[in-house]
Amino acid sequence: MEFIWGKIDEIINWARAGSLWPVTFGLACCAIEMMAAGATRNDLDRFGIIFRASPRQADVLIVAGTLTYKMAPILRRVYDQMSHPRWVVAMGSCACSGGVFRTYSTVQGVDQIVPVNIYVPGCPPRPEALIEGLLKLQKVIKEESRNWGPYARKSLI
Amino acid sequence: MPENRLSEPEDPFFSVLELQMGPQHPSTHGVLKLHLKLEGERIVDCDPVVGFLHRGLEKFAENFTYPQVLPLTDRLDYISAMNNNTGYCLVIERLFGIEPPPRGKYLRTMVCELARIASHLLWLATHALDIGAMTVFLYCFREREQILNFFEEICGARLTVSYPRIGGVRMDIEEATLEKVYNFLPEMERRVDEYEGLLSENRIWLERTVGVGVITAEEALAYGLTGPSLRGSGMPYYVRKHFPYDAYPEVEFEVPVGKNGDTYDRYKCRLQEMRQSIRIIRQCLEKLPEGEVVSELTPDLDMMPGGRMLKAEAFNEVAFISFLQEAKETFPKGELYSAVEGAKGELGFYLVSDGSGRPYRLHIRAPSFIHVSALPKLAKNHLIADLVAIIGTLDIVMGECDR
Repeated sequence: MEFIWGKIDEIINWARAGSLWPVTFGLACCAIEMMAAGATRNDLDRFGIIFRASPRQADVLIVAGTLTYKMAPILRRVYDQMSHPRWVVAMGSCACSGGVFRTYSTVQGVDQIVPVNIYVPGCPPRPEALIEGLLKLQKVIKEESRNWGPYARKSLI
Repeated sequence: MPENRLSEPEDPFFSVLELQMGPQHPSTHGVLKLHLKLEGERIVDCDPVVGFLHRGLEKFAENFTYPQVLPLTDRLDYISAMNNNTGYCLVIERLFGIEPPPRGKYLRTMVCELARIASHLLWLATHALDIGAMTVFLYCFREREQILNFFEEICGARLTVSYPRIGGVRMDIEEATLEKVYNFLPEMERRVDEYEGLLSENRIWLERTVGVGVITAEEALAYGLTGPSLRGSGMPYYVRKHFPYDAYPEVEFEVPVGKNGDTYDRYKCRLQEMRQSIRIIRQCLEKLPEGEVVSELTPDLDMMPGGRMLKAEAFNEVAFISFLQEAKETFPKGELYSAVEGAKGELGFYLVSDGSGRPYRLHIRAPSFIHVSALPKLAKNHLIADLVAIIGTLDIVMGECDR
């Protein structure tokens, strides 16, 4: 029985990792590097990563840039609107930890608002760094087990 | 008009739809939120809500010494960081009465113009993508990557460069890099022609831009618009020409102006500006003088009385305040304003110095913030699809707008 579940896991994870669709959540400087990662030279499409404008169609939330307290409820709402399964990539120092902006209006890391799977540091990270982060995320997805059907509810946050 | 009609709810053919556009929207160029009132698809009222990226940068800058503020200015208009750095350096240089050596000036001018081209490329890419021209987006990013490669060779960073420093630039540029930049210019000229060939007479592009978001020169002046948004209306105001800084008085360039003040004219203006930037870079490289890149008179601003920073054990509030009091007489005092022609418009830095080596107040006159205020005027009575083009044509960067 375990063998069959394992095979099902493998197929589902393979499909999920091969077509990661991130929702564009560009907040600040990192959004430009995110665009550069999706554009001509770095071309994220070759990994099956296609940017979507709607959270309903997306699997990954790339938080690119400084999150302020005014923006935090919107981030949470976009995250909540995404259908399961979903993953979050925090891109840039500001998203990871607040970065240089230790001020009254800046959230010190998006992990205070949404659960984060992958942190990509840098101010801003190069497009290559973002690609590395997304490949790491694919690795994480491929190692998941029973994150589907009735079992998925256990891992819902 | 809408107020009168709002008072007639019995009219069966009339209803105002309120719509929130943004802050998470792909074509609002960041985190701008627009509170729209729609009549069908026609915009009756448009109310921009800013502040979703307010990082408290101006207040934050008051805690730092003058050189430490410089990296923060990178994060204002992150698309053309070189211009921000230069603007900030200019105001500090005026405070201390120093001037960069000729080579430093020329290098600064050159990198500023490279940044302007990069910024206009990104503007064209996103503007065209919003209107529906995907190819232009891909083409523009191709050239932009080349310019970012130059930045990387010059200073090691792609976006947040911090290359212009107080009294000059960080370090000299290698001869090989300068040659690469020089060889890139003819190619870039061809590319600009290519974009123009793709768009300028494209029927869809004309339909979407001609007559959209019209503003006259008087109105643009009244709103305080600067940069290509003002010049598109036919007003040849140019900080580089009227209040020249760095090496701009020594290079030749023209001021491209539009006529009708619509989205198409502003697009034409920016493309012409890219050509003029190429011209300036070429002149800078040809005239580039030899010598130092940083002025010898630059004060060592980090070395304040009591060491580079306070000792860790003394870093408590009481010690810090007394330290500031002590340092108060060390540096010149005054209130200064200095502006540069950023890629978006006049980027001004207003500095109040109390002599402590840290800005007492640093106000940033961000063109994007002022351009957002003109959005309701431009968007009125247009269709909601045109709003996307109007946001694009103003070239808004929210990092600079909200600071």
